[in-house]
Amino acid sequence: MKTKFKYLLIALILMVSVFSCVKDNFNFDKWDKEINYEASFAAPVAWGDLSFTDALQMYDSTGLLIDNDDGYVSLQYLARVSSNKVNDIIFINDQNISGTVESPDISFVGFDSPGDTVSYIYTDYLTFSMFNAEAEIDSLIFKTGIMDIATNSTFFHSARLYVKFPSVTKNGVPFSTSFTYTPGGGNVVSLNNDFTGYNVDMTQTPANFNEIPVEIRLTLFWSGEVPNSGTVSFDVNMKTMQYKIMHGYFGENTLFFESDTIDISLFKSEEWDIESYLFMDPKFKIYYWNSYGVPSQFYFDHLVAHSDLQGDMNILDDANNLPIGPANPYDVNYAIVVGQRMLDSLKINRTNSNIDDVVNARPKWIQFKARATTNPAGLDHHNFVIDDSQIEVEVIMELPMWGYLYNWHSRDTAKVDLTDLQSDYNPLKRLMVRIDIQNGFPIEAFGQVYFTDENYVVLDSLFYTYEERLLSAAQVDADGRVLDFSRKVTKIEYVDARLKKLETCKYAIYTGQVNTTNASAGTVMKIYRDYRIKFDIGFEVDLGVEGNIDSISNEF
Amino acid sequence: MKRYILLFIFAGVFASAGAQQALTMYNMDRVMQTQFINPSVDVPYKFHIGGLLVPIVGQLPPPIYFNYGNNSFYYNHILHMGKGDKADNLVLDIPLFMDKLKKTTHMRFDTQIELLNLGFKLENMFLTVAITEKFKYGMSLPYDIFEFTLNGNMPYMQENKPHDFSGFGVDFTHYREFAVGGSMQANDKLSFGGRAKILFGMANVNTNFKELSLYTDPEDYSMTFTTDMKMHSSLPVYFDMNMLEVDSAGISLNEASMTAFEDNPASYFLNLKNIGLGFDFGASYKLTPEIDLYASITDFGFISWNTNPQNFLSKGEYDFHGLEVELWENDEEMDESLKDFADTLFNIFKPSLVETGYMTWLPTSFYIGGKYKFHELLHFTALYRGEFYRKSYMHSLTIGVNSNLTECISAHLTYSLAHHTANHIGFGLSARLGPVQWYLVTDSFTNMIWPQKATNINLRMGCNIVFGYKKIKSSASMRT
Repeated sequence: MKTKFKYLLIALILMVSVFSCVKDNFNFDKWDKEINYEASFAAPVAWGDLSFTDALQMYDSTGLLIDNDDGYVSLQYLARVSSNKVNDIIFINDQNISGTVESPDISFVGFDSPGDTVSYIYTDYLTFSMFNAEAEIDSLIFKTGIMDIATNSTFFHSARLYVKFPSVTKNGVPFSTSFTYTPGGGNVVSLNNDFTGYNVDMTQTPANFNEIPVEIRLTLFWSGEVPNSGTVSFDVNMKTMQYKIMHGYFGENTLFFESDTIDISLFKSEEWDIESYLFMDPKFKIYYWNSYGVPSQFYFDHLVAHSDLQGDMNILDDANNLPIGPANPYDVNYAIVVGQRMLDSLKINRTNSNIDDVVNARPKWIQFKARATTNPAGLDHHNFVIDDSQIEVEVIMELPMWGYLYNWHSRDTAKVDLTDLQSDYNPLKRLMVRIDIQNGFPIEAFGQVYFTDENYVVLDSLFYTYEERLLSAAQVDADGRVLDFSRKVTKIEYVDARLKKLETCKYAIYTGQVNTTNASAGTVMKIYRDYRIKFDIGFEVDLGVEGNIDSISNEF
Repeated sequence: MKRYILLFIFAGVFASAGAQQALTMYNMDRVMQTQFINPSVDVPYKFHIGGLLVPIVGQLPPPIYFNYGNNSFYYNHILHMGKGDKADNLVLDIPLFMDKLKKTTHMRFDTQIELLNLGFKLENMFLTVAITEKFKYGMSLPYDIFEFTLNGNMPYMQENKPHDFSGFGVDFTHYREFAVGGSMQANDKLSFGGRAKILFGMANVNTNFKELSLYTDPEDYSMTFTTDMKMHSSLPVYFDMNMLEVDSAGISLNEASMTAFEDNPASYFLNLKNIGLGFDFGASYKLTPEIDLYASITDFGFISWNTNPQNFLSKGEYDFHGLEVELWENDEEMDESLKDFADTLFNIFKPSLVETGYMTWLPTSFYIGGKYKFHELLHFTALYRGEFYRKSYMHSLTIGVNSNLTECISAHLTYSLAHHTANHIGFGLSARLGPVQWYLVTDSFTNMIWPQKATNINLRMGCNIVFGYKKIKSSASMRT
């Protein structure tokens, strides 16, 4: 019995022990909640395959990249201006003509019984006052025009007045109108006569220009034994007249162009500065589009480049007798046939101007004012204009990408906040950024970032060289063309110790420098559109967290 | 020393053992349910009946089978009591967990409810009929999922090898089995048997990830995602898939089918559209009067799924180099570019839906074993079990001591190497009182005592009504 009790006791102790052990294993209150997690990840971040033109436009989106005649790339900055509207220079004034027919002008012989009539006919000339005293207009076609005619009769007989403009025709029919008066007379008017589409021939008078004839005919109808005295007067007003086309000689007129500014943003950056550079073949181009049928001359009143280094530089001063200034204006091609829009151009380069000095002085903008004058050679009756005639001018500063760039550099400061690094459980143990660049540009680049505290005391630098080469320039041949890609892999690694240095970092001072291939030796290169740069950016990161899971959760 | 070497080899060979079903049950030849595993077993009754549909007896206890198997780890491989200062604390042990993980971790569950089983002796044959409700479900997790999550992608990147997630899988199958079986004595030495099963599938979800990998290039860290995935489902409800645009993409339950199911849930249990066939085969051979050999194959078959069949297919490869830097002039252009990137990814990997029937195979197992009748009351057994499951081969080895203690009671004790562990001590007991027979069996009762170390939890129990017990005579040469 005693032995059985012993066995039973042992079995009981064993069972309690086993169940106690099981219970402990599933009692989560006993979990110490300590975790130790370490993992390393690598992943790509970004990639790109950019052409030089893409890259340049990232920096300067205002410039226009073109393939120039030599096959490589030019950067253009341009402005387009137009002359004032043709109707502001060459226009038709409101015109007026009036007259009176009086009873003494009329013979009343035999005018004494019912059915008798007497008439009086005469012709007058309407002389147009013109926009320019020299103007001698031969003809025009109205785009719009209104004529109001007001008349008055004081005759005791009934009467009829005919007014006719024989040289103002539409479909070959002259414009005319008539006015009928009852015995005793009165006012009769004809308003808003529309001249739209009428041809006006101003060569049908002795003056042979600027005039049109007006025929007046008055007829009286015997209306009883009443006095034959009286008058008929008329007043013709032509207004709101605009032409579709006008021929003749328009005299000397001055066309003003809006003043404009060409911003050269390449040199406008506040962040970047250049030690030296050379554009081998800068150009200044002026393109004209002229739809005036009038001999014209174009010139700049004002053509000044502004640079911080040289101040204002007057391009006209060194124009070497180029036809661009007031003293030597440019004869612009003009339309010979109605509807023509003639293109003309003037090109200024380093051989005929000081443009290379201007460009190499880092101009931030070029400002200009321009004018054009008509009929510099005097009287010529072959002028014509249409209602939208215009002279447009495009002024282009072209910088062909042929040359070199040396020490294009920048330095700036940015505020940074790395307080997260101060966490007791900062999981970031190592960070490595890998930048792999295959460079097809004839450009090398260096960079550096300094991390400082709030007093600008340097805590660390991104690279331990003065400036790390980020881009290795592609080699060029004798003609300045890139031969092959150059490759540079840059690894920027931050381990825990370096990260700790940055805990009090407040500022990042970053510097960068860019040169073209062998720029220091004056090697020039050309940029072609097929130049490309390829890059891959990826990172490696080591994460590690060790501690109590509740504390870690609270930290985040 | 020799013993330890043998034990070491023994353990090493079966270190990759997988799920087990009835390692102890296999030799409980007084219980009719052994015919589920070896149809050639000679059951010592003229008639028996059991199952949940049998009033009173069928529910005391309910005839159920439950099995959980994990081929990689158990609870203490994640959390366990510490040492030294931590002796009274549970500690999280990720290195140990990682060390225990296999190439693919299979966590499987198997639940069976016997609705009815019936057997009777006819001449030298024994015929059976059984209806069983079966639920098999589980999840497979490839090692590389844990590797990626817990160690990151750099270790593999440095070894220049991809993370292979293709072992990932989800399985759920519910089906009903109508089995008709028979065993017969061919001669004095050989007996054989078989069961033909008509299977009625109720629900299935399964995945087949032929390829799902992530390769990180050590040179530039670019990532290559490769997929060749299928997900099949046949459920009383079906899914709506909207894959026209990435913003509105999604898979959701079809509301009409949901309503129809809620209105008539019985249709789920009476579904006869998903028909399958299955077979069990078994044979026993009396090598000597003391030694019996036997072998069996179970669950060789398939189910054809035709109720709301939906197959989601995704196949593609994508090299991710990061975001492409372009000349974005404003935020809208950048957003557009990011959207294009998302669209590209979406279009490569978006699944297509094919609504045709499909077929799933049952997880077939085979057993080979032998019995040495040392004494009329003491038999020694050995049993090898193998199973193919989701490209993995799982096996186990069991040795056992079996005794029909009395005409009414039999007891069985086994020791198994399975689930990469050697701590499976099984126990089985059958007892008969008059015509009522109870049985209870587990392949690892130690795991029930120490669940924190359990890679396998297994239990089968039930009650049968039996008549006509006929003692199977042992060989004359056997010790008495």
